[in-house]
Amino acid sequence: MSELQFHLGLAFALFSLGVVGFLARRSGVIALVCLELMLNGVNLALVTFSNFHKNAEGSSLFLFVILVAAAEAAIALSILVALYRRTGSVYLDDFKSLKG
Amino acid sequence: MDLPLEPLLRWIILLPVIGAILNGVFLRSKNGILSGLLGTAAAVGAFIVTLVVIGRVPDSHGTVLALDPWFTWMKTGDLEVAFQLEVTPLTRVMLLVVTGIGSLIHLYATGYMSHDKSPWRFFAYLNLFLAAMLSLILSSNLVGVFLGWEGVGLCSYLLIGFWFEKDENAAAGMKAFVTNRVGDLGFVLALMVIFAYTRTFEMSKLVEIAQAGQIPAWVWLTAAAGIFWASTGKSAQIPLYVWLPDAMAGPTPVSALIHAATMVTSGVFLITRVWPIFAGQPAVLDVVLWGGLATAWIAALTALTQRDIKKVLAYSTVSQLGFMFVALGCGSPAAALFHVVTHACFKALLFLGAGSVIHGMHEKQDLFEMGGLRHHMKWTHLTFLAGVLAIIGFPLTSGFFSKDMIIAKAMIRGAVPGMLLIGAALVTSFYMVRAYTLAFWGEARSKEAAHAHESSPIMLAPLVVLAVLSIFVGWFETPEVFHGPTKFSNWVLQSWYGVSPAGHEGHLSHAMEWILMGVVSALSLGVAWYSFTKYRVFRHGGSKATALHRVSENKFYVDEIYAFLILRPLKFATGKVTKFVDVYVINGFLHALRDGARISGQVLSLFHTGSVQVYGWYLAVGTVLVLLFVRWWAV
Repeated sequence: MSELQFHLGLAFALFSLGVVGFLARRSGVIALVCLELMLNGVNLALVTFSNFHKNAEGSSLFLFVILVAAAEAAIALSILVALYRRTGSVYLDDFKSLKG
Repeated sequence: MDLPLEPLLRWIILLPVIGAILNGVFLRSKNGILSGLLGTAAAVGAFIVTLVVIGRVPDSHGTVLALDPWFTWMKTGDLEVAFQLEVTPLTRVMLLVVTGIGSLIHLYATGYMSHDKSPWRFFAYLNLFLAAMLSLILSSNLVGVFLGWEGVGLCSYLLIGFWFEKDENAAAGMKAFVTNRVGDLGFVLALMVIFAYTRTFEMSKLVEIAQAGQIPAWVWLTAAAGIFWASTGKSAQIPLYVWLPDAMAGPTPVSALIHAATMVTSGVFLITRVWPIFAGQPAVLDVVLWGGLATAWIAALTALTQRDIKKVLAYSTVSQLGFMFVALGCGSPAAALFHVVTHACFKALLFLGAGSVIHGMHEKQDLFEMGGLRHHMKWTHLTFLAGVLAIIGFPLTSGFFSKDMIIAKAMIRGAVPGMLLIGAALVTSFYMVRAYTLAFWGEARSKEAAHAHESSPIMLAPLVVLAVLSIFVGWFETPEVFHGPTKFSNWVLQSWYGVSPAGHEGHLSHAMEWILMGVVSALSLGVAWYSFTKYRVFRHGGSKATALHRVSENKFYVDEIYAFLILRPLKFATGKVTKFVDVYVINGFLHALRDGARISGQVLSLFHTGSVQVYGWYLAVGTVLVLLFVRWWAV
């Protein structure tokens, strides 16, 4: 197994863990953590390709993702805090008032 | 050929247009005299330009006496239509009639409409009518003629319904408009057929092509039939004449100008204009002849019993138009156009005289309530008498010459049409003298008649001029035995671009002509005298009405028959169609739209669970499906 395959496999594993965690766990906090896992899986893949092709495109995109992820985390966490204060719960099953 | 250019021609149309715009858009004055004088000035201006143009070109100049290539109206592919004006010897006569009599009637209307609420509207329409009529006459191609044709129809509609506050006036305008549309269908058909086969609308070229004879005969047959059908609408012939009597709902100057002197003769004019197309169609000419005879008779018989003075004149107009069509059917456009001119003079005179009577009688139009008016309205009486003498063909008046010419042509054609036409002329004598006697002789039969007043000089002056014209205008064309001038016949020979179409040539012997003239005049005067003595002393409801009398009084029930045969089935059918379209097509479409939106909304809302993680599943599964699709199905 080459280094490339190893790193891409690791990225895929991280992303898959994130997806499964997001879909299966009920806690909003865990769901957020899993979101970050997915993002980091993608980041790892970006950096890997950047290293493989010997250029900076992947690495620079990775910086953007970090930026967006930080902003997203800040907003999502504050929404979660607000929800907790209002209803006393962070379980996603409790929030279904937008049902059509 | 070296064509005489004449840029003045466009001003004959432009002046009335300017008058209409000034009156209708800018001035909008409630002052009847001001609007009237402006309108009259525009008409007189057109008359003066006409005189100048006609004065400049000698008779001997050929077919096109003057030409004004004004502008290219439309140009697309093969089709190129110029707005081009031309004067031929015959159109010259129509120009003089329309602008000359038009000016007199404008002047008269200035007095007649001085107390109206919106005289500016009246004179704007009247000027607009003049412009449309003049472009009908002047245009060198059929598209321009059609423009004028529709323009006069529109103005006629606007003016019949001028006092639209009353429902029946508006309805009469509508009836005129719709009936004329039915006729115009024929015109459009003729235009399409002509263009499809000749690729031109210019009448000079059409005449050449018609002579060359390379176009299939049915094309000319269709064109002639279509133009004739259109003419039965505009010139009030059977079966489309029903609108003209109702058109009397308009102000009386309108009846005189549009529905007696000019617009209604445009059908006759159009047929003479494209005569070479008709000359080769004996079948169509037969229809024209017999249709004209039937119209002359039915209208004359209806006029016998009408009580409304304007209705008598209206049916008389229809009857006289029938005479003109008989002349056309006998192959003599000269006689037809000659009668157009004399009829324009005396019928305008009669209508204006009737208007003066109505004015003096405080808007009463019932002959049975008049009587004895000769004491109160001397000038109106004398001029009306001149008109009556002209229309019954009193020897040496204008009507005498023109009717004699038509009767002679009909006699040449055959004894049956000749005799029938003489009969119609005798009925004319009877009903015209009846109307005249009922109005002006005997005792006053109502309060208004006893206190009638003469009209103002501004209304009487045109009456006097028209009376003089009615008596003397016949001397342009005299019977052969007189050895006098025969101008109309000469102009006709000149008028078709050097082509002389074969007509029914034939001659009556001189003795025969004298006899015909003498007998017809004697009979006509006898009938007139009988009518005069019969109605001189008149009381309401003396004798019981016979069945025939009632049929005549009810206008042969033609309106009722049309209502039953045409309008009722039409209403029934359109009712069904509307209902079908409304219920099934329009409602069906809207309901389908509504149901589609509702059902698709219901189905899609099932997926909308409100749970973030279910949405996450959609996203994940969707992404996988897209990836699989890209990998396996898309190349």
